[in-house]
Amino acid sequence: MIKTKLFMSVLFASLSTYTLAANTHSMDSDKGYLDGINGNLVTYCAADETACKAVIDMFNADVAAANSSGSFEAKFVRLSTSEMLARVKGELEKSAQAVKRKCKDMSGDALETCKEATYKAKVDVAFYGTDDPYKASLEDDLFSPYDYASAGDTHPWAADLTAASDSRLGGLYLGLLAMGVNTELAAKAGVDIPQCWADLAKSDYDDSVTIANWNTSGTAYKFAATVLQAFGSEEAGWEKVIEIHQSINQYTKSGSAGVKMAARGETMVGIGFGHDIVALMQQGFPIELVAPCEGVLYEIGPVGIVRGAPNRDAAEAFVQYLYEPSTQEVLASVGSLQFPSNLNAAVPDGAPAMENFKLLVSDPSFSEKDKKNQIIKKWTDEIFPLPR
Amino acid sequence: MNVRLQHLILLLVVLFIMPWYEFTDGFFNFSWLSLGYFVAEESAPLYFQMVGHEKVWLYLVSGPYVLLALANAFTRKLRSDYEANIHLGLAALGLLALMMQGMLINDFGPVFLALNAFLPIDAYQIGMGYGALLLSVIYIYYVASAFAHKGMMKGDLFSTYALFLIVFLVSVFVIFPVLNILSRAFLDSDTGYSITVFSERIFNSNIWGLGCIGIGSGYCGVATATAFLAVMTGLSTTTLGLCFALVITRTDFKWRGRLKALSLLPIITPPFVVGMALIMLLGRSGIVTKFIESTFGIELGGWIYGFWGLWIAQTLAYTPIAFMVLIGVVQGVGPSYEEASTTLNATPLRTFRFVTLPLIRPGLANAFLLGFVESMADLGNALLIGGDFPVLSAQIFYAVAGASSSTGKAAALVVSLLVFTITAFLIQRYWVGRKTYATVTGKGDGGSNQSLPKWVKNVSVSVALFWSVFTVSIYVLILMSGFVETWGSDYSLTFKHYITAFDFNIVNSHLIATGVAWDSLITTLWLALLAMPLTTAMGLATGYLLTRQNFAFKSAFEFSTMLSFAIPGIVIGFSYVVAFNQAPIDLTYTGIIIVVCFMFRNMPVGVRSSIAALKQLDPGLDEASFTLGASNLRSIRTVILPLIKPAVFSALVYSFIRSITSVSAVIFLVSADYNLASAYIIGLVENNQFGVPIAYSTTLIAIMGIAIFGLNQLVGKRTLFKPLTNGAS
Repeated sequence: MIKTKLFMSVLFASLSTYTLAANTHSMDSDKGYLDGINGNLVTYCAADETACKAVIDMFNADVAAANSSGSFEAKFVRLSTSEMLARVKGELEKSAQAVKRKCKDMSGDALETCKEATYKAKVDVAFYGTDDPYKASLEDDLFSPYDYASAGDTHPWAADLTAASDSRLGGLYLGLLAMGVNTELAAKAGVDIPQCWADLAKSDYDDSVTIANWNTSGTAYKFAATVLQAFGSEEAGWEKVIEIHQSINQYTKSGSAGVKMAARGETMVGIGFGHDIVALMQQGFPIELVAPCEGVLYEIGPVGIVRGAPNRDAAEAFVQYLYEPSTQEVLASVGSLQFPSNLNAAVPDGAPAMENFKLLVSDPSFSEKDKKNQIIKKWTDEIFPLPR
Repeated sequence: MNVRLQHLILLLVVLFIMPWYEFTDGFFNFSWLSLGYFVAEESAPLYFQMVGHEKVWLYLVSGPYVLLALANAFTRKLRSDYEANIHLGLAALGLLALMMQGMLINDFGPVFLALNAFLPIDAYQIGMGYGALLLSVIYIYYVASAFAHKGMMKGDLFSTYALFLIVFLVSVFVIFPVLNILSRAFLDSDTGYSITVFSERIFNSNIWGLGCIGIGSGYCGVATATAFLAVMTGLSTTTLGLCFALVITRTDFKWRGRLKALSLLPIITPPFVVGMALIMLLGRSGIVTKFIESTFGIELGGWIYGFWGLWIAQTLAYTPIAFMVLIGVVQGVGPSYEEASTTLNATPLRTFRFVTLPLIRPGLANAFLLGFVESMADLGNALLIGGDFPVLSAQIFYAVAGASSSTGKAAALVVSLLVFTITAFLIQRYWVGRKTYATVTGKGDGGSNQSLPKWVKNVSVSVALFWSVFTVSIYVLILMSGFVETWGSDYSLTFKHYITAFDFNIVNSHLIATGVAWDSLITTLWLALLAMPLTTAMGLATGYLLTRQNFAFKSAFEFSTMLSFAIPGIVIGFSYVVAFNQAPIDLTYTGIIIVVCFMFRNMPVGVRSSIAALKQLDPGLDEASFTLGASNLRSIRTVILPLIKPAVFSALVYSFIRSITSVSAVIFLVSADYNLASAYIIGLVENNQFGVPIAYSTTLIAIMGIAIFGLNQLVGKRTLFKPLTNGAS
C-alpha cells in the first residue's frame, strides 16, 4: 500500500472563524450589478429541485426589479453532481479538441486567452451539489477562472476551495458528514446508539449500516476519506473499512439514500450529511443525528462558470448573487440546512450544532483524481467482494 | 403536377429558399421567409451561403444535385443501367460530400489544419439545418430510384426509398453516435487507441467471472450475473404473458376484460414507481414484512434488495410487453389447423402441444427476446432495489456518471452487454427463422379456435389471477400513498401533493398554471405525441422490409435497427450529447433531440411486433393485390395494414408510453425549456420527496390509460376468425 504522508490537522469547531455570525440581519451588497444584464442565463443545479427553483426565481425577480428592459430570464436544469459534470464534459468535448488544435504550443496568459476565445458552451453556470466531483473534474478544465474573492466575505473553507481550484470554483455552503440512527430500530434491537465510526465495526450493528457505493456517490467518498484519515494512518483506516464492511447491509446508489432509509426504518444506521438528517428529524421521522467521535470531513457546495459560457456577464452577476447573504439564507426556507459561506449570512435554525463536531481537514491529495480512482478501485476490487 | 416541373421547383427551393444551417430562432415561426434572413449568414439558403458567405466547400455538395435535378427535368426517363449508374454515382458523390464536409469543418474551423490550404481564411460552419436535411432526403431519393431502376426489390421504388431512408436515419442517429462512444473502449487518454487497452478492459474476471457456480475462484462477474437475471426475467415474463394471452383469447373466464386492462397497468407506470411500491410493501419496514414479522415472528430482513427484488420488479414491468406481443400472435393462429387436429381425433392437450404451441413459437421467441433485452438494459430498478447485485446497466451508469467516471470502462461494459444482445438476437433468428408460420392465408378460414386443454386453462387462469392480485395490491398502495402526509411517519389524509403538483388559478378568466408539474407535463405529452406516429411509421416500414423484401445485408440491417434497444439509455443519452452538440448536427437543448431519442429508442418494438404480425400473413395476400394491379403502397394500405392493426396499435401505444416513462436516456437531453416528467420526478425522488412524485406518477398513469383507451377506439379491432363458440370440440 502506498504510504501517504498524512497531513492531518484536527480543528475544533470552536475556532472563531468557523463559528457563525450572530446577527440575523443579512447585509446584502448593493445589487447594482444586476442592472443592465440581458439575454438569458442557462444553469445546471445539483441541489434539490425546490432549492434550485427558489434561488433562480428570486434572481429573476431581483433582475426584473433592477432592470428596466425586463427581457432577461435565468433557467436551470436539475441534475445530480456527477451527472451534471459528465454532461458538461460531454458538451465541451469538441471545444476541448478544438483547443488542442488551435492553442497548441501556447502557455500562460496566451493559452488562457486562446481558450476563452475558442470554447463554446451552451450552459453558463454549474452550481450547488458536492465538491469532490467538481474538484476531480478540474483536470478536464471545464470552468473559467473568476475572481471569487470579490464576490463576498467568506469563511476560510470557501476561500480555500477557490484557492485550491486556482480560482475555478467558489464555495457557497458547507455540510458535515454524520450518522443518522433510527432510534426505534436501535431500541428494538436493544443496542446503544453508536457514537464513533469504530462502533460500527461492533457485532451489535451487524447487517444494520447503510452507506452509498463508493463508485457512485460523493458522500460515500467523503466517508472513505474520513475513515482513511481518522485513525492515524491509511493502513489503520483500511482495516477499519474492512471491519465496518462486515456491518453493512447495503451499498446504495445515491449518497443521501442511507439516511433516508434509516428515517423510514429500512436500516438502523445511515451515513450521510448532517443537514439531511436534521431535515428528516424535522419531518417527524424517528432518527437521531450522531457526530462521530473520531471526527468528520465536510462537503462544500461549489459554483463554477463554464468555459465558453454564452452569457458571461449574466453568469458573473449570478455568481455574485449566489454569494449574497439573502440568497444563501433562502435555502433554509426550503429545507436545505447547510451552513452558508458568507460571513454575514445567518445560520439556519435547526442546523446541526457545529460545536458538537470535530472537524478533520483533509489532505489535499484525497481530492486528486489519481488517488481517488486508486482508492475507489481498491475498495471495488478488494473490499466490496469480501463476504459479510 | 408534371414530374419534371417538380424536380425543378425542388431545386429552386433547396438553392434559394430553405435556410441551409440550423436556425436558432426556430424554424416553424417562418421568420426566415422575410428578406433580411435570406442574406444573414445563419439563415441564408444554400446558394447565398456559397456565393455570399464563402462556404466554398458547399459547391461540392450542391454540384451533383444541380446536375441530377436538371437531368431529371430535361432528359428522358432512365432507360439503361448505364444511365442509372451515372445517376447513382452523382447522388452518392453528393451525399458523401454532404457528410464529409460536415465532419471536417465545424464551429471551430477545419478539423485538420492541413485543410486550411484549400479553404478561405477563418472558414467555419454551424450545425446543418432544414435545407441540409431536405437535400439529404433528395439525394437518398435519387440513390433509391437508381437502384430501383436497376431492379432492386423488383424495381419497387417505394420499398427501396424506405430502405435507404431508414438506413440513413439509423446510421446518423444510432450507429454514428454509438460507434463514437464504443471506440473509446480502445482509447487510453495517455497512450491513444490500442487493442491491449481494450482487451485489458474486457477480458476481466470482474466482468466474466464464474466463481459463484464453482468455476475458477472468487465471485461471479457482472456480465454473468446480469445474463442470469435476464434469462430468468425473459422466462418469467414470457410465461406470464402467455398465460394472460391464453386466458384472454381462449377462455370464457368472466373477468377477461378487466384482466387485460390490469395486465397492461405496469407498462403505463414510470419504472421507479413499481420499485418504490415494492419497497413499501416488502422492504425491511414494508407493510407485508411487518405483518409477517409480527404474526409469525420471522425476521425477513432486506431480501428484497438484490436479485429477488430485481427479478420481481422486472417481471412486473416487462410482462405486459410479452403479453402485447403474444396476444397478437395467439389471436392470429388460424383455427383450421387446430380444427383439423381435433377432427383427426387428437386430444385438446395434444392439439395444444403439437399445433398451437409451434404456431406461436415466433411470438414466444420474440417475447423472450424482448424480456431478455429489456432486463439487460433496465437501469431504474437496478438503481432502486438492485442492492449489491451487480448488473451491467448500473455499472455502465456508474462509469458514465459516477464518482470515478471513465468512458473507456463504460464503453467496454457496453461491448460486453452487446455480446449478449447479439447472441440473443442470433439465437432467436436461428430458432424462429426455420419454418413458416403463415396461418392467415386469405383462403377463407372458416373454423373457430379450439378450446384449451383443461389443465392449461386452469394453470393459466390461476397464474393470471395470482399475478393480478399482486399487481392490484401494488397499485392500491401507490394510489393511497399519494394521499397521505408522509409515508412512513405521518399517515394523515391530505390532498396537498396533488395541489402542489397541479394547482391552477383563474385570473381575469385566464387559466394560470401554478402547480410545479404543469411545465414538464405539457412538454412531455407534446414531445411524446410528436414522436408517436414517426416511431410507428418507421417501425412498421422496417418490419415490412424485413419480412416482405429481399436485399443484401438484410441481417445487418435488422440488427442495426435493434441496436438502440440493446444499449442502455444512459449510454444513448451520453452519446447524443457528445455527437449532437456542435456542427455538423447541433441539437442539444432542443425538443428535436428528445423526439429523435424517443424515435430510435422505441422503434425496435414497432419493428418486432410488425415482424411477428407480418410473419403470420401469407405473402400471397399482398402478391394477389399486386397482381391485380394495385401499387405496393396501395397493397400495404388496403390489405396489410388492416390485417396487422393490433401490431400498429401496440406500436403506437408502446411508443407513446415508453416516451413518457423513459428516464435514463433523457436525463442528459432535458433542458430548461424542454424538461420531462420522468426526469423531474426522479429529481424529487432522489431528494426523499415521495408525495409529489407519487401524485405526479399517478396522474401520468391515468393520462396514459386514457390514451390507450382512446387509441384502442381509434384504431379498432381486427376480426380474423369467428369468435369462440361453446362446445367447439
